[in-house]
Amino acid sequence: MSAAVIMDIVGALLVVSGVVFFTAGTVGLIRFPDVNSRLHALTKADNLGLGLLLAGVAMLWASWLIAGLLLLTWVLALLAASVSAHLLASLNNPALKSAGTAARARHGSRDSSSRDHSSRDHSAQDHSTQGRGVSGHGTDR
Amino acid sequence: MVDAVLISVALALLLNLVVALIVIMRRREGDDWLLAVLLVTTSGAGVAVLLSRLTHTERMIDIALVLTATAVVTAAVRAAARIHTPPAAAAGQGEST
Repeated sequence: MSAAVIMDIVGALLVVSGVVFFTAGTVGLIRFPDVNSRLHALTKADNLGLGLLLAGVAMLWASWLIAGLLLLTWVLALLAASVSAHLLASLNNPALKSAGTAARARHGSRDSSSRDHSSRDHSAQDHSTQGRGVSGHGTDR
Repeated sequence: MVDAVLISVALALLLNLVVALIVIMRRREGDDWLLAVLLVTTSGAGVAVLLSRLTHTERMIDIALVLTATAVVTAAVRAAARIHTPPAAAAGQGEST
């Protein structure tokens, strides 16, 4: 059995195992109940499947240049998946959601209290200008 | 023989992609669009690479590279938007989207 035939067989096996992982990731995407667990299925299984598939195709091409391009493709896919997974997980964090609700409530109360303070300041300035008998703005510096 | 394996794997990838996209569209949850982007990226890159070997066209590998690079840009833009958004607004966005 020549080396080329062995590489073809190994490449085909890698490609088939890659699609098995892809299918597992798709099943997880369909079956898992929430976004966080679906993230696991998609980022881990699909990226491993893609890596195996790219490795298999690299074996079939039998070229170092193409193997390097395929490796770069896989690294970019990993980058995209890791950043997206972190984003989605942080957006779907229950602690962050409840903290966000509390922060919105605090912001709302702070805004209303600041409006009260500013209205009191304006009334205080009005009193002071009336006491000095000065009307209008920009006359006292 | 190897070509038959590659064709069947490509069809299986496309079937996975179509089924998953249908499920995501029917679910209509806010954050699933990013999952759909990731899925299209990985499946599309896989199909492009398989087609490159079947047609003996090296340029098809560039398609896979562009797909994954685009996904990285999408994720980076989303991450930058998240960094510049206050946590309260981001949590509200997570609830609403």
